[in-house]
Amino acid sequence: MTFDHHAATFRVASSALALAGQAPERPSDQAADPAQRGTEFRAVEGGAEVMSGETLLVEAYAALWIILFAFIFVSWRRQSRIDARVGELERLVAQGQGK
Amino acid sequence: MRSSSPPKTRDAVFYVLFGLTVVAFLLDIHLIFFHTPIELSMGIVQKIFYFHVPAAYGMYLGAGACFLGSVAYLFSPPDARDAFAKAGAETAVTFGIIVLVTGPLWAAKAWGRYWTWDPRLTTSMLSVLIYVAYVVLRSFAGDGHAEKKFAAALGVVGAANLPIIHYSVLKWSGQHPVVVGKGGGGLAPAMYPAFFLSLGAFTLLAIVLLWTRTRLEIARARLQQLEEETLALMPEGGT
Repeated sequence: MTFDHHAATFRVASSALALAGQAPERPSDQAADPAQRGTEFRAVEGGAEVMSGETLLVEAYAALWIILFAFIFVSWRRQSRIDARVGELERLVAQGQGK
Repeated sequence: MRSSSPPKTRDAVFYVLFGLTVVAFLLDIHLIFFHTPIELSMGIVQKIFYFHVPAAYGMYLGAGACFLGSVAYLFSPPDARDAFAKAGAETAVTFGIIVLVTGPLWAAKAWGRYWTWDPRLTTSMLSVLIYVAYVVLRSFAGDGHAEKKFAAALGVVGAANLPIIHYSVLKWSGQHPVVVGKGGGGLAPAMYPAFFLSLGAFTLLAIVLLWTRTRLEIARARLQQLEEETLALMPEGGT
């Protein structure tokens, strides 16, 4: 490459930057100037969803069945206690009849 | 209390009801996930609606049963009425917890937060807490007539909040959507079959839960009475 070619490339790049109005700043300059720091975060419009609807749906259905099965389990426990008390009552009745 | 085992026909009706409930839920899940369209703005998370709203309806049914059983018990106190009221409160708590869990999961997507102190959300949580209080009272306060009467009063007063939940969204606005019923824009026609089947399935489930818990409570009360009678007949020093 010749010197003229490099000079032409530099001129084109400078023109493009001037047109865009975005003269590049060195990172050290940004850090030194508090007025230049970021003050807000903005989401990309039309970007990917933040919270998965599928996950929430599965969580909701899992919760539904866990709650229902917990209710059935508590009923079963209560029935077991009643069965145990019936057994004890039968033993007492048999004991009373034996005397 | 009269001693009677449930007739076979009653058992048969229960088993048919139970079978119908299982079939209704299987069909409902199939319909929701394979034949009902995804909502335009919320996406797939809107399908929580098909269980959230019927669960709220199930909570109303349980609370209504608690109210009826409580009123009946206050007029004339056979234990079966008290058992029905207690079963209603337990059913209301079960469905209420489902409502309070599934609602915030939907809201996380639709509103960007799990909970707001919206009138309908607040009154729904208050109602669930009333029935939790009823169940806790019945669990720890004993089975005397005075305790049952106090619980019956709570069951009657607790039902006063139900219409407030229903009309809160109309009277005080808030963020909670109104889709079905007065003030609502309705569902897409293809969404109605799943919604109505869900309502049917949850109605059957509420009846099954009410039935089983009432029978269980009647059996427990009857057993307690038999224990007391048996102990009274036992000779001194008997175990």
